[in-house]
Amino acid sequence: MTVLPTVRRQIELAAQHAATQPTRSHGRIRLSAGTALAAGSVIITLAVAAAAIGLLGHSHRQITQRVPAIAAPNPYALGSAGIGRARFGQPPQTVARELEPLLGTPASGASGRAVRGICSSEQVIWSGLASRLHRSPSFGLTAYFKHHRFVGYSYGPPYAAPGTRVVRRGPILVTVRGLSLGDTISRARRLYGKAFRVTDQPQGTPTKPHLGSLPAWVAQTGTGTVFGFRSRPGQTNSTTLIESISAGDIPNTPCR
Amino acid sequence: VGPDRRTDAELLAATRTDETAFVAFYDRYERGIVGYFARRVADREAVADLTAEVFAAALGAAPRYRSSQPTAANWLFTIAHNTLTKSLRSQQVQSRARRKLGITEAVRLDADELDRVETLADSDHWLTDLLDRLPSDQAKAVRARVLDERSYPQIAAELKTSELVIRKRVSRGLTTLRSHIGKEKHP
Repeated sequence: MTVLPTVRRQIELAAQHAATQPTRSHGRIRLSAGTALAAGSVIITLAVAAAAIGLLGHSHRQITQRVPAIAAPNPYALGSAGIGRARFGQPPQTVARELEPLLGTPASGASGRAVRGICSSEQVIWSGLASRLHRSPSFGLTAYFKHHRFVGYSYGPPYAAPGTRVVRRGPILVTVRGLSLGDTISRARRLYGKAFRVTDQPQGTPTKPHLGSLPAWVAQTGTGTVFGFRSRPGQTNSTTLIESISAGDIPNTPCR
Repeated sequence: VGPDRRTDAELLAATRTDETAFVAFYDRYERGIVGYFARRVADREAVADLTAEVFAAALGAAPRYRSSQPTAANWLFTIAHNTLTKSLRSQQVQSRARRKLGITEAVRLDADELDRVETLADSDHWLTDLLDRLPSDQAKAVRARVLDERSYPQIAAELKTSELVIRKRVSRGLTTLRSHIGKEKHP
């Protein structure tokens, strides 16, 4: 089934016209009497149209305005190898420079300076993006560094504490495919197809079996994986929600 | 009427004599091109305009198409990529190719068409399903090149192989995809 019959019809008419165009032979164009008449009509029509555009002046602008503007690609997309132009491997200053136009100065300290975080990591935290309750502290995006190099990020309330609804605030970040916090598992499957799967994340570094696992998800992309936590299982795909989005090397608490 | 069994090159070569040839070519790649734009552009009518512009450009360039490859997917998606790049730069959908063909109206979509574009934008499972049928190395290369728009040098570095090998994988993968698309209809 055709997706866009309107476009197909336009192209079909143009293809018909192209198939009836005169062909060049030995450097000259051979025209039948009927074709010559038709070509003459086309030339006159074009001349009249050109004159109208020239005389009216605004015709060209109106045509331009009817052509819809289109959106630029998202420069802050959450990817498997970084966020927009902030790529894994870059120092904190570079990452901050890329993200601060959208997220502002980090809540964790001065611009471009990573602070000591959990599990021996260094981190830069932007707050004001998401929380688990309306009145709870609003965190959002945590960028993780090791040896002053960007190694991973986590978007959403920090660490593993699913169970309460995620509240999005401020700028909303989305993955390259368009997935964001609070989206349903059904939508994630539509976006990623078979590349998306739900899973369980064992807790602890190293893994501590007595703590059990937390409901999680993972999506394979062309360059790696994005993953995160989802709301508790036992719910349907249409009610289970994406609770965090991460990529790279992030702490899995509790750490030894 | 079943799908046209001519190769892309044969269809493009026939556009000046057979008015059905380019329509068959359009039908073969419409979903792919719409899906390509729908994942990149917010305005659904702009997706339709871009699609029309790409096929208009392809129709205009068809007599000059020269390739021994049975698939013109690379060629068509290159046109799509260039059209998108120019459109983003000017903040307006390019219309030059359509104007050359006498198409001056921006596309107006009805509700059904908008729904279908929305569906393609939300889901590329039809392409993911196809990619799953490719050998893993080809699927990775095609996904990285066509869906994620990464450059050949970038992909080669990530997959730790040469650019030439990546080009071959993309070419073979697209050839295989084309044969699948020709054999079956996707929702």
